[in-house]
Amino acid sequence: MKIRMPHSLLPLIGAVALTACTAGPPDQEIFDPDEAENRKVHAFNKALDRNLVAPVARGYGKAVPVRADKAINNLANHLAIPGEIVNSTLQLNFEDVVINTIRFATNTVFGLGGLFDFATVAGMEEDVDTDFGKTLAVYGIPEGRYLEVPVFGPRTEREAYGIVVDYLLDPLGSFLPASAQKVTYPLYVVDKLGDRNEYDDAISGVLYESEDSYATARSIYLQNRRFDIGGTVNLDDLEDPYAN
Amino acid sequence: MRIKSLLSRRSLLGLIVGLFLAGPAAALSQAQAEKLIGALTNDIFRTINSGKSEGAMYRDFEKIFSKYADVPTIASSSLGVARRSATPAQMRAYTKAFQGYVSRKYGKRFREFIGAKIEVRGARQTKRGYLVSSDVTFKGKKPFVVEWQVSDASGRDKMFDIIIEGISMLRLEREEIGSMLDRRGGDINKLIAHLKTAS
Repeated sequence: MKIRMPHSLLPLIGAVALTACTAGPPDQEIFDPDEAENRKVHAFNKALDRNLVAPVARGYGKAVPVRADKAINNLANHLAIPGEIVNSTLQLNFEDVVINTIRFATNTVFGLGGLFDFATVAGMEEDVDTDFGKTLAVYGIPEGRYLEVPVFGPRTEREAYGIVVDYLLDPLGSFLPASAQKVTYPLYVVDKLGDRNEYDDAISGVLYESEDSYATARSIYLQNRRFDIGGTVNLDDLEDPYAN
Repeated sequence: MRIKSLLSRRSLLGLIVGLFLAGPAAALSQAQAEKLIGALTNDIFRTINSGKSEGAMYRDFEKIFSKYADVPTIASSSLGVARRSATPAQMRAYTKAFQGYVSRKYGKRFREFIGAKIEVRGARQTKRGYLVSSDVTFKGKKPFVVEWQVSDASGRDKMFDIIIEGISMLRLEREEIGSMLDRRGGDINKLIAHLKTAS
């Protein structure tokens, strides 16, 4: 069951996030004061993956035709767009608002409500992935400490607040009938299973083949998330093995 | 028209300044850096799509890696501070073992690129040379960004880091090798023995 929150609470949560993210060292370093606790959660997440998520995802991959999986993925991406538009607006990034609005309209009309990605086939601009964690970053909120969240995995403190807000934000709720809303969260879960199956080699490589899967997952998450938020590699953060 | 003449004037100025800064040695140019990565990615994709066996592919990747990459620098950087206590003989053995390990590990990842296309997009100047950017595209999917650091600091034009969607191979391997060494009580010989078969 989903608890609906009045949207007027959103600014309040934003304000909480503003003050609550622990200021750490500069953003290219690892700030993980809760490492001991995080490692316990990591062990739990790994057991969950090994015993449940990975086998189910592989079963899903075998049972579900590629085209059906693609349609589910398209639909999940499509339904995420209204929230992304809200976030791009908050970030005052109107170019992204336009790109995603056109894409959403196109796939709603020509992609059977988002089951097909007509926009990509037609060679339109790629969709813009964004979320409330990025919005907070744009407003200058520090990344905060590193967290490994049960079930969800690696996050920073800032992104953890972002997930909560994105969940409450859910602009689709205002448009979709209640019956359709019941579908969106299971759809999200199925889409994630599809991803777990599709990237099985890479994900299993990190979790089960690296020497210290906790440290590897943390490094990969932080580097990739900073790249996503900056939109590019920060030249000052590049490795320089010739320095000494 | 005015814009055009302004541009050409500016590029002429840039050229003169560049000539002064470059000094006597022929420094790595952006075009050379892009060309190096173009040749490197061509070789990688030829191997991926060759249909060879896994073992033969890893041998090819190792050849490509030693041809294009500054292996001694990458290896020494991956060892972190432990390199200071290593003997020259240990460093040689470590570098050799590391080269095989990286070729197997990343060769495995590259095999997932079967059917994808790669395109060099351009380069940005860095402190040590250039960061060459390329897009890898799978059919019907959003491209992802693979960037390559290139430098002539070793005396030759070489690639020394691969950055996939912001994730640096050099950084990741320094952390990974650090964990391996910790787990073996800091014994470099045990680390070398492990790397000979690890992937």
